[in-house]
Amino acid sequence: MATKELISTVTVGAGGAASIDFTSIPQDGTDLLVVVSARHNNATYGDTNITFNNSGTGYSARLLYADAINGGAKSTTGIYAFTTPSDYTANTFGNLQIYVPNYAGSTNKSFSVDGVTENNATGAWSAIHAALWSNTAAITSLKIAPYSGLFAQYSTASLYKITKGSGGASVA
Amino acid sequence: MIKSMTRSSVLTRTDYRSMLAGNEAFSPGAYELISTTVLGTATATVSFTSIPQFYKHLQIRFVGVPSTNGGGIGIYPNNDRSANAYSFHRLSANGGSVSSGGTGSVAYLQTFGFHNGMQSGVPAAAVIDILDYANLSKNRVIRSMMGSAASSPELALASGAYYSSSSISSLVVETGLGNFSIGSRFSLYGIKG
Amino acid sequence: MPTPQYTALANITLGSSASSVTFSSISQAYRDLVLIVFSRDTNASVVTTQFLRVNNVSSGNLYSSVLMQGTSGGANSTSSSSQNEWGIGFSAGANASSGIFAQNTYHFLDYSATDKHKTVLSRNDAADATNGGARAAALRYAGTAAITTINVLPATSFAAGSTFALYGVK
Repeated sequence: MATKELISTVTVGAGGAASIDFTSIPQDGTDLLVVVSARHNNATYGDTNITFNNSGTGYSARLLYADAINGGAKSTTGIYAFTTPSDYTANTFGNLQIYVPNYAGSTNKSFSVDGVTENNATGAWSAIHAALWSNTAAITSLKIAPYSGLFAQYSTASLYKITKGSGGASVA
Repeated sequence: MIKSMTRSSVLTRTDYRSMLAGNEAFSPGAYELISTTVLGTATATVSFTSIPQFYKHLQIRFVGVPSTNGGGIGIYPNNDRSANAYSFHRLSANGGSVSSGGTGSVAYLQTFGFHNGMQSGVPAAAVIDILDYANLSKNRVIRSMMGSAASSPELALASGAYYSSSSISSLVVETGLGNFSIGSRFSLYGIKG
Repeated sequence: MPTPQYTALANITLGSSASSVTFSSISQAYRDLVLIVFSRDTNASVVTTQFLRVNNVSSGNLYSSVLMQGTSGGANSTSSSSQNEWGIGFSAGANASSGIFAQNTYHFLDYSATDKHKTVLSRNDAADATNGGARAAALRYAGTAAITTINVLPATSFAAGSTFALYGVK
């Protein structure tokens, strides 16, 4: 089995899509990596929701973020996972990465989200998240959806599984 | 129905219902090295050319050791130096504060050097992801994490966009001041999708 | 046929608490290492610090770092130099809710080179709103020896269930 293996890629067609969904995720990997290049048809809001196993509860996060306009940076709570809104430069999509370690295990699911948007102007959102899904279930499905509106055509997400090795470490 | 392969010996015969013949299915990896350059001569510019177009994404990983203080790093898809070809933004820090900034309609895509820049002799490392680099329906967007724990340190989550309808067939990594020293290493990976 | 360039090298999941985890005799056949640590500590806290050393070196003031993070105190950046280990990572502490772990990803770039100091890029996350943080960092080990050993150390001891996985990148 390859260590980093593509599970599937979803590309949004003409007309857009309310979400990008990965279902029946194989349970024989260790970590999940999702790479997202997306844009949505809602102006202003760049927020993107991440949902595991179609569960709408138990999510929290601490993030460091900036909009590049005012020169500073801030921290807040919540998952924003920015993708590019429709009032940014046309045909320009965000660049987002979600990493979920031990996705098939029985612990609560911590995950990292790093995302940037781009815009041919002064302002563009970026953020790093320390996120948590307070649920011990193995992750069998994953959904990404804009806070409002639809993902635009050509938005794409690829899901990879990373499989650990064995042995080779010592403990004291 | 296809008759499966069999393994026979003088004494035994085993029938398989699959062409795998009891072997594990091959699952190709998604992450492949395209090329690596380790500098034998100091230079300000490193190029990846003839980039295959069949991957989904690209990743650059490098450790650059600068010869001069204060230099930044720029990325040039297709070595494009056109006016208005790029925008870039950053969330960055210098060990004292975190700040952000950005600009559009410029001729360069800066990923580092927003505070102190690089420090002579101290490595600066980067992991840079370029998504959908061959998709001509999208402006290509770069996400970069880069840092140098020098005495005047800098760390940046940077982004940039390349406003072009051309696929990315080459990439240039360039320092704006001095050179990358001998031993600096630059690798390009293709990621399937 | 191209050879995949991301290879699992080693892994351990703790069945009981441990005072350290060590990866030794690391293959020198790769360019980079990626270490993923998913950890909980027996320390009486909600979130605590995780430490790293290389090559068993704990003296000589060879470790430096710069980080940026978002915490309940806002966005901030700090740096340190001339330390005897890196104290950048997070572990969930014993006072965190059951089954909560922090996660850390460390990229050791050019770890096998012998002509430069070693640089690590990390992402360290603890999702607790009050005590945790979202952190990115750059680390430097001011030695030119190739990295053959990585030591991961807790504040008190790593709790059972903590996982440590090492990967090589060609």
